Amino acid sequence: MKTFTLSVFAARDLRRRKKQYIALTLGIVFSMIFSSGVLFFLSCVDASLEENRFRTYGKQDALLLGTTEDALSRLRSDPKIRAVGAAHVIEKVYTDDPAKGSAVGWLDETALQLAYPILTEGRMPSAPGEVAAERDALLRMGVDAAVGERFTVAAQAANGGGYLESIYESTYTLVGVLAGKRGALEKYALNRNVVIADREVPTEVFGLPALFVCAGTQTAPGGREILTAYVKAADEKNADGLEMYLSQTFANAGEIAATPRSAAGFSAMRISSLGETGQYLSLILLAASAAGVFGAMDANLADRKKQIGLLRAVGATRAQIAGIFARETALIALISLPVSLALSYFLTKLLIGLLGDEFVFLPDLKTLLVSGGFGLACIAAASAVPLVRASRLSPMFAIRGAEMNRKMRKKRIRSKSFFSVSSLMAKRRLTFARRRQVSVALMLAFLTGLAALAVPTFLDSYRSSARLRHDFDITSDFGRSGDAMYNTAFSGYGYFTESDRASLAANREIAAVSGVKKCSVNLLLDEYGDYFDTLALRGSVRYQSPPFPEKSMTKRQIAEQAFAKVSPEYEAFREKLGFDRELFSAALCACESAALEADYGGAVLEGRIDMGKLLSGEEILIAAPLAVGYDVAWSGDGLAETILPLDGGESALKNRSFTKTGTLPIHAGDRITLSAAVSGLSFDDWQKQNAAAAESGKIFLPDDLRRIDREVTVGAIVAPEGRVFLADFSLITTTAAFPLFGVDRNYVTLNIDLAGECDAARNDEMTEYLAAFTAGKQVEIYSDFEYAQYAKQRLRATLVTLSGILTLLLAAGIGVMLNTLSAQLREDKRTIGTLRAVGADARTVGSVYFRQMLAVFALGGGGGIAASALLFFGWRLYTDLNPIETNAIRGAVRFSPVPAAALCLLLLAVCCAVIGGKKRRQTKRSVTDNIREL
Amino acid sequence: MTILECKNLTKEYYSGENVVKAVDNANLTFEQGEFTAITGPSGSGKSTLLHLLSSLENPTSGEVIYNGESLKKYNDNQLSILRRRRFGFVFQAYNLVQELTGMENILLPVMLDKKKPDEGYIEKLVDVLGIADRLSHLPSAMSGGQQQRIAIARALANKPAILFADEPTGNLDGKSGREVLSLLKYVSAEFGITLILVTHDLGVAEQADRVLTMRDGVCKN
Repeated sequence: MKTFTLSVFAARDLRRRKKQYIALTLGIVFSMIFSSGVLFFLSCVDASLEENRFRTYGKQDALLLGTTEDALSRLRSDPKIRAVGAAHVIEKVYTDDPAKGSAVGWLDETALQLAYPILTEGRMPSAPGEVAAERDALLRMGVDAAVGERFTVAAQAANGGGYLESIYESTYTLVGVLAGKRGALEKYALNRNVVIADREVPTEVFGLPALFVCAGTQTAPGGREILTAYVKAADEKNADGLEMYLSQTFANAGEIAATPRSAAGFSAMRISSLGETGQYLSLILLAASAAGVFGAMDANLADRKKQIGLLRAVGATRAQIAGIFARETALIALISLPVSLALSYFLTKLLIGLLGDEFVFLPDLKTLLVSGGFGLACIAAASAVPLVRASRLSPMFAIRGAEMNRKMRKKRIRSKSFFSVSSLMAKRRLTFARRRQVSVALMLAFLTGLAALAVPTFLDSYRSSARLRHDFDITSDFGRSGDAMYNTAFSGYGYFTESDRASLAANREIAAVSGVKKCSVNLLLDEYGDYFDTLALRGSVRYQSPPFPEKSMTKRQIAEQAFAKVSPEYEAFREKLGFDRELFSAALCACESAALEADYGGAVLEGRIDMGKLLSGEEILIAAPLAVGYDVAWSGDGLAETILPLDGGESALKNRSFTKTGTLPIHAGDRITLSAAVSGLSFDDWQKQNAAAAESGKIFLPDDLRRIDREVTVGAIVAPEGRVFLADFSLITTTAAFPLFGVDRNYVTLNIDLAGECDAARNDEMTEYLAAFTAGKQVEIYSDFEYAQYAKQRLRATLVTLSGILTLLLAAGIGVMLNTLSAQLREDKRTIGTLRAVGADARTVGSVYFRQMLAVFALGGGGGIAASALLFFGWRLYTDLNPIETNAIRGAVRFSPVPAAALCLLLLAVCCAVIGGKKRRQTKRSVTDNIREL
Repeated sequence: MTILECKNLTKEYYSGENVVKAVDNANLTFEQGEFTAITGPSGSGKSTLLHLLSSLENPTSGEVIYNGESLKKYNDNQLSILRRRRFGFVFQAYNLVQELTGMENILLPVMLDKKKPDEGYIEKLVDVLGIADRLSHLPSAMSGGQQQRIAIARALANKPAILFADEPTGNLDGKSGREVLSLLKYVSAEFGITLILVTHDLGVAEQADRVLTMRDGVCKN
């Protein structure tokens, strides 16, 4: 006699019920594909980020610039260092400006591996006179040679720690073009001191080659190589602390520059962003497939309640019941494992290939094995609950329909003597299977509620993603500069000269360069009023000096106190310069007429823009909100003051609660007086005098402070948008009229428009070029391409994630609903048979289920839309009552019942189609088949 | 008058390569108002024959003729209408709709026909069957005998021409079984309904006007 074990039982069951296990098998396969896919994808994203880091900075962990042979040899024998390579800089070359030149050198073999140069064209040099150059270095120098062409540049030989004075010419044949690394390294790795305008320190091209010659090339006679070490730490742990270690152990062996541990730039951002999206999607899909496994197992076990009841009735324990079904699931999982892993591998490879060149596909055996194990673990987790539930079923399920009888005995119903069969049946089912229907309705309500809020919110934000106005902005303006009481010779932050502008404009990749200048002026007012009182609280000039409020004070009391007292500095300033009116300090911004027209032409709130009068200095524009709201609240131990600028003016103040409000008292056409206060003190003198005054507790104002007044007409009030770092209240004029206000400056910002369209490659090239151009200066580079791409990327990522979530919920919702209704159909075989036996046609039978579905959909869908509407309008009420706290996100949420209703209809259609098919299959069979005992 | 007949009626089931003839070439007639019992050992095909005659099952070959019309020509809808208006069926396992009360189960065929019930007739049925106190209860609150009476009332609600009963006393105790049988005979006589009853109980079969015996799918008078 053969042994009959649980495993044999499980295997036989599988063979007998192949068709019933299709859904479960598919669920398991997909679950394993997604679970292993998640791990593959994540490992590829990590590998891609690492590769991107290498391409941006090289593979080294640190650089030691201007080092010695002795230091190199000590590095090579250091146990914390895995590899050391050396760059040998032989000279620096340039065309007109040494500050825009590049170092020329060669890399030894190790340095070549660590530096990881990326050839975009041609080859590396192999003979004397040949050079491969980084693209942005060529651009900076203005060298217009193509690969194969010769070019001549001025050169100065390296001198060990710098360069010799004597200048000679070097001629090279360009054999290759490389992607730039020096710009990125200079921006993110090399430290430079802050440069003060009247003490500009020229950038020193030092120790990091951007032009590469063949190995062994010597310096010019009399010269001595500058050595730069490329250092790779022994392991990850050492890499993190390498800079500190080198600074302690190799303190005087050169300038230490740790390579950033993560890449910056658009490509890295894109990889991270897409990686994040892919991660969320994978997890969503994994959750969906796990839910699918859960649902399929649940349905499978629900189908076999009688079998389970019988097994229990003949003496099987709970553990044995769970064991049988666990074995079945495990068999399926093990059989599916190789196929799932293979599919997952190829699907991930395909996806990575589609994502772009920044991504690399790099799964390894360890990832493969871990993925498989992870997949099996997911299956086990998903099937645990159904298995436990199945093992707890009572033996009475085999003998009677114990569950249903128990439910029915508890219910009270009124008998009817005239009824529609399908309507009454549907209603009774909803009564007796309420929990099932409610869970379906809840899922539906969640889906529709989410659709009603998420879809319109996303569409609105996608449509309105903002852009900057120029391809690139380079700015040394890091705050709302200009709103100081007076201007000094050094406080203008004017880094960009006309020569800088011209140099940029000469670049063939750049179509136009316009600039912005800024200084501080004082607006003379008869009185402050609520508007300027409030705005003054946001400025860097504190005109008020109130005592710190007490916690027992009301908001109104705190507000009154905040505006009550003027500061001694303000009074002293007015007295010194003989102002008998109040002053409000604001930034006066000057831009070129074309840029001004482009930026503000469409932003006029009041008045009109007359370019002629702006150019002549007769008129200015005011960029300011038409109204401001002020509120104050205690936050922890601190006092939070919030001022809310409102472009909508008075109407924007309605229905919102503020402690204090103010509307702009100046209008288009008004005559105003602007007064620029100027001091010619140098930075050192100013610093000394200020320190002396502070020591003796006095208020410091420069002795040579003088005022230059000018009366102008307000041409228009415009919305304060369009320029980075525009203050709440700014005055706008043209660069032509700017000197008329008494202060002249260099450009605080240069706006760059490229020749032709910008794409990812051009963006990266231009960023490298500008980084090199502005190297050593405290400057921020803004790329409109990156800004827009990033914003769109985030929104796209949100869209994909949102779509993924909605799709998942949709699939889960459909799955749950269909499972519930299908299970009911299966349980109803006998009832269907009875109805048919007494003369119900197929349509009447179908109508029972349709009415049931309609009731659940009406409840769920209607409930979801109502709940989301309630949430939305509650949110609007809350933001109206708390405008300060919620201003940034007030308009962020939208509501529309249309997508929710569409989703509901779609779900209903799908459910009707599927259940209709199943019902048709049931009613196609003979009546006897329906009513026959299982 | 012949109300129902079958000609060369055959039903075959396939189990792998095996063919099982549940009903083998049956040729029978049934007169109006007659009480016919079909008897035979377990697995002889008597229930299958009943299902074929009542259109609950489709024959492999042959035909069933009701009132001179072959049921082969009827589509599914027409058969449904026939079942609710002209036929009544009583099952061994009662097969009441669990979600409906006793009264609602009884009225099921009438409501399917979208007709107003004949209240007097229904009352009489209820009275005869002795189920007045169970009408507002769900089947889960009834005994087997009570459920079977409800099922009989349902089968008769639309005044059928033929009442088919498949082992109607099979799930009942002796007393209930006898009561149900006499009720079936009574209503059949009272309302002039042709009664065709399947049973393996010879004592039940003896009470019929005619007994048909089935053995291995073959039916003999």
